[in-house]
Amino acid sequence: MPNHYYKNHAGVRKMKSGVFSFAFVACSFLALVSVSGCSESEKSIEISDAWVRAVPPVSTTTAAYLTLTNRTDTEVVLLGAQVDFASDVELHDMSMNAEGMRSMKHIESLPLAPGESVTLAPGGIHVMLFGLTDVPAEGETVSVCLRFAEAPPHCEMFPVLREAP
Amino acid sequence: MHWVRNGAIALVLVVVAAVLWLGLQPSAPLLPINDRLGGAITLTDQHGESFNTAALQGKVQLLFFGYTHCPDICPATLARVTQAWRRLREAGHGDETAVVFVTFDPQRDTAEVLKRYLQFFDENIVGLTGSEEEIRLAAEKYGVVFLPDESVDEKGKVKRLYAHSDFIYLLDRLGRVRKLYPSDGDIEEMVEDAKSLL
Repeated sequence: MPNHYYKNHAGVRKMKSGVFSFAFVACSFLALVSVSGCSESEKSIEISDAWVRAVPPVSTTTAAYLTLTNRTDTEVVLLGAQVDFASDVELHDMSMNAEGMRSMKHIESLPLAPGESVTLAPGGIHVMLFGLTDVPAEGETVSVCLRFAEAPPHCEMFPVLREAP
Repeated sequence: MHWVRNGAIALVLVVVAAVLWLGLQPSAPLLPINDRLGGAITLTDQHGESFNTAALQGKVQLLFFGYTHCPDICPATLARVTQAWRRLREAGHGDETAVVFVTFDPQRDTAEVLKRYLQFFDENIVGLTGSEEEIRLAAEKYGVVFLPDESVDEKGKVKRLYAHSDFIYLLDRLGRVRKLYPSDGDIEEMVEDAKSLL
């Protein structure tokens, strides 16, 4: 593990704030000239339409949504995400049976072929955030670090909204 | 006397024309009554008081079953239903309409939890909880199916979600089910349908 990460009290890996701030500023600057991220391996994984659902303060769960595009020439595999306001994060998919019953299923990974784009949206695949330790308030932005199989985490600031942007 | 007779004829013609014109106007299709679903349910509201939904007779209602630990569909659906209700209130139908949320997770969704949860959307939503048996009977009336889906993670923590049906029910002033919408149902459609029942 690179030394600019540490584990918080819940065991969740998190960037040190100074490093994170620098990375965020650097990413923000680069975002002005490109929609991609900041490191060589990250810069071709594109995130757009990102948001976290604003939920009541009493809630213990919420979800994050985004569109992920693989601009690299190799497959990338999304494994999940890390946040500092939930104790557990999983990728989930939603399905509906013939009787109109909806259920969620934990998915271990989400592979994206070169050039492929996938949208994580309400009612479909989403990043499920369990055990909220600090419920994000509507109007805030929160850091969500996506974890990949062969690439370092890709962190973005997600706005907290009641409805899709 | 001719002017009296002519005036009367003209008046009759105007009335006939008005009736014909009104009759030819397109009107919203009458929503069918679904007599297989629905009925009054008695549960406990978010203030801890016994609540029979028959008390809402006279109001057009949007009713929805869900649970507060639901991360995706339930808050999205509540937000949509609340938006539809806001539109109805803005059109002056606040006193004639109501929104009801029934939990099927009474173990975690106590009256107090429901109260704090619903305040985020609209404190005037009627939130209902009860015993597991009461909830089961209420769900049966509306054909709502829910199945707990528990898993234990590597830290030994139990996560309980539900597989569930997620329709929104439109009830008329007599509490009869008039239409079902999917959880991502069109807000404008709900508003117009509700208005057609007022």
